[in-house]
Amino acid sequence: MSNYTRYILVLLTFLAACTQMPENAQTVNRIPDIFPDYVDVTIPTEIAPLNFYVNDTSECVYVKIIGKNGEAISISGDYADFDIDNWHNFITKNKGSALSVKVYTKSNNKWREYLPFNVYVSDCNLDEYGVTYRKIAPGYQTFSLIGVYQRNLSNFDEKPLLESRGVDGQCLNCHTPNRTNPDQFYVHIRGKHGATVIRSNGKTMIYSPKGENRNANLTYGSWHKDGRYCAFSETKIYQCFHTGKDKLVEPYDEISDIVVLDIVDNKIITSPLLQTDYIETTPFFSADGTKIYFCTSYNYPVPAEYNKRKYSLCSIDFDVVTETLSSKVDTIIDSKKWDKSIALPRPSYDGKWIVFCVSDFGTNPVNRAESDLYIMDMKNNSVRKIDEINSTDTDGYHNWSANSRWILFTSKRLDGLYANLYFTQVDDSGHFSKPFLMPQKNPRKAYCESLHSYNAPDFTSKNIDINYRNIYNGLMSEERIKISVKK
Amino acid sequence: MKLKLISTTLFGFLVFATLYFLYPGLMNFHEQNQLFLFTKDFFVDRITTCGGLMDYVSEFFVQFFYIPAYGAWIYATVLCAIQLLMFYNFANKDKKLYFLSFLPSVALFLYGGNENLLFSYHVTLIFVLLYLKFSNKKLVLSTILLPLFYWFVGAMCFVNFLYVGYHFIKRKKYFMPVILPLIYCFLAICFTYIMPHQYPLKQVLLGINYYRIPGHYHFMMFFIPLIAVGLVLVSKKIMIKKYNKFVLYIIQYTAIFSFFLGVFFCYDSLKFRLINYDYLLRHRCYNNIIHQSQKQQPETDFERVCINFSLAQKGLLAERMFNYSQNGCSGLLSDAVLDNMSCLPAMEAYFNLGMINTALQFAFDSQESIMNNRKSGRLLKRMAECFIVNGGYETAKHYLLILSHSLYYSDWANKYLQIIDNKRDIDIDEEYQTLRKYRYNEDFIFYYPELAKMLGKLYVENKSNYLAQQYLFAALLLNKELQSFVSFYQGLQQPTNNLPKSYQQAWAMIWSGTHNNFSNMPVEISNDTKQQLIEIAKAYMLDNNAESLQQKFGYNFWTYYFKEVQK
Repeated sequence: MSNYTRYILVLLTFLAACTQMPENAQTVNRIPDIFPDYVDVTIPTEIAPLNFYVNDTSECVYVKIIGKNGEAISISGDYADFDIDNWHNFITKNKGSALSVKVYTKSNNKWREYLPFNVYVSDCNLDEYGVTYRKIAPGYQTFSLIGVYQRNLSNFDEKPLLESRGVDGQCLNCHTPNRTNPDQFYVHIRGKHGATVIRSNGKTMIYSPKGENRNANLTYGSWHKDGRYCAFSETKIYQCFHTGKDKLVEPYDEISDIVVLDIVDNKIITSPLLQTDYIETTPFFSADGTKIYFCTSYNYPVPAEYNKRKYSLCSIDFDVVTETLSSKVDTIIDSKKWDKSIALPRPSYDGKWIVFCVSDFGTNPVNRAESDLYIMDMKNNSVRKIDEINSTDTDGYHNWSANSRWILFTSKRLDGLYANLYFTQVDDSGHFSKPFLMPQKNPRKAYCESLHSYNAPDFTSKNIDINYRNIYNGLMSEERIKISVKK
Repeated sequence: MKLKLISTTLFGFLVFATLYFLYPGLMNFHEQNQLFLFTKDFFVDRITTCGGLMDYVSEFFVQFFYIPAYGAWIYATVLCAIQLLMFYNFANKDKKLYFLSFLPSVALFLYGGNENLLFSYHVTLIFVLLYLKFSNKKLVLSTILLPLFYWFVGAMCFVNFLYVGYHFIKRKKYFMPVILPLIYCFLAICFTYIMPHQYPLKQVLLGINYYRIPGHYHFMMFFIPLIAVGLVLVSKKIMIKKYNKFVLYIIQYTAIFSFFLGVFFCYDSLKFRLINYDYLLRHRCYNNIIHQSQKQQPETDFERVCINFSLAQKGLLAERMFNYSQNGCSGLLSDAVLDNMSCLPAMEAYFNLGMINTALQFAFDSQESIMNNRKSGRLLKRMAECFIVNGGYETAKHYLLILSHSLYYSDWANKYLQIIDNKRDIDIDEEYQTLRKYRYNEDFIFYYPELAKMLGKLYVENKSNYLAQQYLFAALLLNKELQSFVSFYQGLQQPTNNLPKSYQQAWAMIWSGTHNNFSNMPVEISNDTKQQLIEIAKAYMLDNNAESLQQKFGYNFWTYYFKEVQK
């Protein structure tokens, strides 16, 4: 045999190594340990293939997914990497039923067959194109690259909407659409060319980052359903740092008030009740637009009493006709009674639920390992900790799909530092399915070797097409729409 | 031939010697501001950026800068290659012109004194010169391939556009020189749309990856390739008449090597002192730092942190710290500064002290301050170490997996990956085991103005932490907290004899403030110290100017104290 023939044979053997069918497989009496954990999860039909690795020493895996009518798809390779089209055809046919996933692994030329596990294909659609999120290195005071990205959830395509290198290294904050519709969104840019960029009705407006004679920049916000108003906190955020082994960063608000921005008049609507010595933050409009939910705490000094800051959940009425905020604030959950702190209240768009984060103190759940998600039934104000989706690590930064049947949230459950994106379905009784990690083409590369956290995610109902050069030029021009206070 | 060989070799040797012996820190600086990974994703990320191939090639080479001798050798070889390619491109191969071929390399070497000039600039110049030769031979083909060339090498290829344009003019085809700049701009616009990442048009037009700070450009950045092409173009027309050959060579090479001496002007001495200190600190060459510090008093807190830490590591902080110009606690352990360099000595000190979270914070922020969005092997390793000490193994794995794809950090990373995966005892490493004991027992918020208290807590919680003990007393003395110094000293039952120099000076000063003589002192003070204090006290009565006292009595605790008080 010539050397060439030998090389070709070796190459063919190598190529064929992972395309074999399992033979004489030995049964292993347990389900496989896979990464990400997709065992018994519920997925929408729109979701991209649930590619996964098997956490053992195998050289090759063979995965067969069997649908309700016995029809199956299979794949083999280093890891389960499904063809996108085949996947969608298959799960669309199996909508509303359970898929049985059989996993075989091969090591030392011997196949092993694990017990099958189920993946449930929900009969309820997600009805979203994808998600937007900010990717940022989870850390301290600075960043090298920060960007807001859009991910198509039906495949693995990710594209930048705005990257810091595209806007002269500026810090970018959350991209926030109006009820997942990107025709209206805002994004904050911080730094030398700071601004709040708002796009509405095809027009991009570059606002001054804060109102005239106001103390702080517009920060956390939420759109009113009509699209004319946006509730914002005016927050100055600082950080201090822990010395112990389990906690790292402690962000805190030095001051924070709440205003409503009218993007037609370019004016803010204020209320003395929302501009107190207390800290008022993370406003969110109710589904019908008549209330603003927010969190508030006494402004204890930091660092001396940083852990005394416990936020209550409150609401204030908003009247669109008179453009006024009510003269009364309702306390929905009093932090003193709970001895816990509430953050990021997010009412569902159908008005049935509010999901919020609860931690020991503070308002930024992303830095609180004990942060868990809770749900409130709006009919009777009953509150429940969502044990079925919480983990022992940080869970938070959630948002609803437009049809209010799915939520996404970030969790640091994989390693305690990097926040990743999870999805879960909610049923009519307010119970959630087992959450699943956002699928990736190569999940190990994407989650174990990435230096980015997923931050401030939200759904997007369609592909967002923004021209970052226009935004860049607008930012560099230093021309800003001024925001004044409505009399 | 011999002369050419000798001059190129001599030039290369001079570059090597300068970098290796005088500025090894520069090699270290380049290496620690990037991380080359042997992965497909890394390659794809680079190649999908205009000029990214040059980044990839240069980053491949720069990883070897981890060992400064290799770095200096690679650097010298690249500059010699540029020089040889210059001569190779000369139409007139008269050896009397050989000296001209050195000009771009020498200019580049001098410009290299700017530590933010990336090595990809050097590598790109090689490819630009190779393309000139290609254009000489195949003008039409090289013109057709220019867009591809632009994509691979980036904006420096503007000189290739000029060169090609010049040759078309020579062929009396005046259309091309007009259209070529338009093509260049058009390509730049197209590239901004094609690239998966968002770069402003200006950067694509002028170069994305030649300088560490995006969007910053210098005259030299354009001048060097221009002069290279200019020399190639005019080389044909330069005629050197028959002067005495020997005299001519002497003049030429004296000019070149005098120019080379410009290194002492272009390599800022203070900046490179800091860069070299950082290099030595990283590699734990504490004796070298102490040795170098004796030649020159520190001018910056950066140097002070390096020197104080080196002294402390050798157990000499209390004895010698006031031999140097000190500047309060900021010269002992600096607070956070958001750049890729300033925090590094303090990061090393905090880590060794057992203030792991602060070291982690400094490592993280230093890495994220690398302006061209690169990661750092040194800092990722430090972050992994911090998480290992803190028991955050899953997070440490994150960094270890990345480092396992590198050249110089992979052995270490794989070792710890194996330990973590096998759930073996992480305390296998004695250093980490010790640091784990040194850590704070309970969590609190880091507050820099109360550094001395934090050091006190660190030491009180673990009395075997000798580094913390040295830093605690140093911080108290630097803060002029003499009463606290006494309280801590006695409270912690420190020795009463054989005191280090600064402690003796502090004790003597405190005692003399309330007593007429030195008898019955709770600690033993040498007669020399007593005598010196008496002399300095007398001098102080005559002239209380701290500067003049320092001139007269040199650097010691008392002159430091007076100076701080007068501030």
